[in-house]
Amino acid sequence: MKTVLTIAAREYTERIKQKGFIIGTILGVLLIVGLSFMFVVFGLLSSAFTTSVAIVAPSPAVGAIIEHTLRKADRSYRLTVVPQHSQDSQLPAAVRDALEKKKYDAALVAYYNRNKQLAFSYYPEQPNALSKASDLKQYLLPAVIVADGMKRGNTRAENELNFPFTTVNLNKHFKSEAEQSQSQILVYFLLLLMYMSVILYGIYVAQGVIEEKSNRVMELMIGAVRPSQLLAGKIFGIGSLALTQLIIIGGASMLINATAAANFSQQLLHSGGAGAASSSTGLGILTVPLLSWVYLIVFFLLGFFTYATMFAGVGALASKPEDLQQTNSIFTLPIIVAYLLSLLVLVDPQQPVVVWGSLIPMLSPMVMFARVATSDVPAWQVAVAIAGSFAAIWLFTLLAGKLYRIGVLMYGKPLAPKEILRAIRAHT
Amino acid sequence: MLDVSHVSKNFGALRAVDDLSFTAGQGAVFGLLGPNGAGKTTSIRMILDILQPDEGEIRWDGVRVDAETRHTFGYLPEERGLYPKMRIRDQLLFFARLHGMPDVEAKARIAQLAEAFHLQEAIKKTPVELSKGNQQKVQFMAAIAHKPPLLVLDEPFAGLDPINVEIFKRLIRELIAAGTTIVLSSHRMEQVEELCRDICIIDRSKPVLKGNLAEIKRAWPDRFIRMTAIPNTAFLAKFPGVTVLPSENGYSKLKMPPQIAPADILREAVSSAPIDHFEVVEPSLRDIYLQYVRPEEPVA
Repeated sequence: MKTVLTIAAREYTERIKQKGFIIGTILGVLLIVGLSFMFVVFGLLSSAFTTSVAIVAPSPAVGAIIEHTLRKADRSYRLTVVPQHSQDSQLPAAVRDALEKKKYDAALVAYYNRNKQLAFSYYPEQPNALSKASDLKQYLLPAVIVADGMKRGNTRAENELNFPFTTVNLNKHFKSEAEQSQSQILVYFLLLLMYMSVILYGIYVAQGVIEEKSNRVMELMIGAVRPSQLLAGKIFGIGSLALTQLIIIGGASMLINATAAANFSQQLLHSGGAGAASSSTGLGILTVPLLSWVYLIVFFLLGFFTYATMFAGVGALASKPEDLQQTNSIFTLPIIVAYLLSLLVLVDPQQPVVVWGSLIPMLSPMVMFARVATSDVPAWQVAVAIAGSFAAIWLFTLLAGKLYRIGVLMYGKPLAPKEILRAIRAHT
Repeated sequence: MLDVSHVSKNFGALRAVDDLSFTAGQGAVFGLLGPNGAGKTTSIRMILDILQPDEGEIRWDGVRVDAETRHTFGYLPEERGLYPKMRIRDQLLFFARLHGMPDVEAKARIAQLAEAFHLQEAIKKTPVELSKGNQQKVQFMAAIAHKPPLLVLDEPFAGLDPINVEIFKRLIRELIAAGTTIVLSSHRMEQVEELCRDICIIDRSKPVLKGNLAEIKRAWPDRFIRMTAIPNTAFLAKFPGVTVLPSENGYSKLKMPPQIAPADILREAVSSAPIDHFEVVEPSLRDIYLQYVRPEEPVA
């Protein structure tokens, strides 16, 4: 074990100093920062488009106040006060029909709750309406103050600042408000990150093996350690390197999250709460939930080990970097298929092809990650995907260990598939 | 003590090593000789437990060689290299760690070896900044840094200039004095002759000669004459069985069967040419080697 750690430590410390790693990490951080603030840009853009909202109020007077307030706050709303009156948070059937027929992008139900306080339920149907939920809440505060004052003659500021506002998703594909607004872009980014990391670091493993063979360090190494230790050390070292990169990029993302939250509380302090203008989503800053990072790391590790063991075996059989090019294109094919399938997940996570794909080893790490990050997946399916990956890793490790023993001291022309099979059998 | 006993290895239909046995004692160099492709490297890889013999066994101090024992061995392979962009000192430390040497001890040892090889400055650099000879010294350092009880050297002198050959020889002698068992494989007969106590010649997978080098020479039936180069060897026709060998260092060399008296040859030689050097010598290792190793058959 100590030998494996020594080898892993060398791989790690030598590669972490390389320009490629440093530049890659910086680019990753810049990309996630850029993406995080992209919603600010999107927000600006989407404000140029109108969102049509149906207002359901307990009385025509309240309806008029809400309409007036919102119109003043944001000109991008196209507002309609419907004739139906609300009793509670329920959406009147006629309005629901109109939403389904896409007559409105969203409906806002204002009602008096049990505490006789003005409360709101927001029913977004279209994604653009969903992203406006927090803006809307912020705009509604003056309407609450005016409406409460009208009804009871006095206002209780602390109640009004925290007036009830709930968002009810009508579109079943939305996982939740916060996640939906972020999932598409961020999951896409994380998938890209995972796809590139698995391919890049997998090929690093193969290249590392070939480098050691072609500069003949392998001969010195093999005199000191077993091929299996060499294989394990290399994979663990490069795997830790990849993990470091993910953690740095993830950490940067978490930092943005924390900064946004700090910013929010700062604003609360300064404005005494009245301008509870911004939650982190309200600011338009996109953040990746911690759980998504955890999923990313778990499935990345599964994917990395699946492909790294495979690439190590491939590398052991090659003598020159050129030999790798052909074989690499064959072995990266499953990753590309997995990537394409996981993009389909973003369109519809329930499609049979992606559900099946997420259960098949070699495809499962990416496809299952895309599924868990965008929708609720039955636990047994996640368990099957993980168990399948472990089985694949076990199998590939056995195979790679054998290929390694055969291949590390073999130079010259690459073996034909028939010779490889014979050699594997000879070593069992 | 290294004990190789009736070891054979096949690669498919090819028998790479056929019934090899020898013993390499402590504090001595054992020479493993033979032409290219004779099975030397395969034998070395079996000694180091990189390959497992199909028949026979290899023991170190009475214990069968396994991952645990070979971990302590040192090996300078024929085809050798270093990590091109890793600092030499870090590489040496890395290899010493792989052999289980504690860091503090390894650092002191590396400093000591760097001084012995005159590489104090070079070890702060990377291999790409070093000459080939210096790279070879570093590889040698990597093989001996962890003070191995058994050191296997495969063509250690290849590509070295005479000064570095002397440094290598000096270090090998120091290692012998410290009790290291050394297995040396080389085509440089002079160095093998100088350093080895025992030898084994392998030809076409089979051991063809083995034993104590001094005894082999003493027991050698033919005698050899080294004399001033003579342009005309016609007088040798009177001595049946005497053959002219390729000249060595400007001297003529003759091989003669035991029944012929050297004095008779000297007399004849002096009458045909001025002779200022004439000596009866033991066979050189090269003579012995050429006697045992058959020339390669022409490739069809």
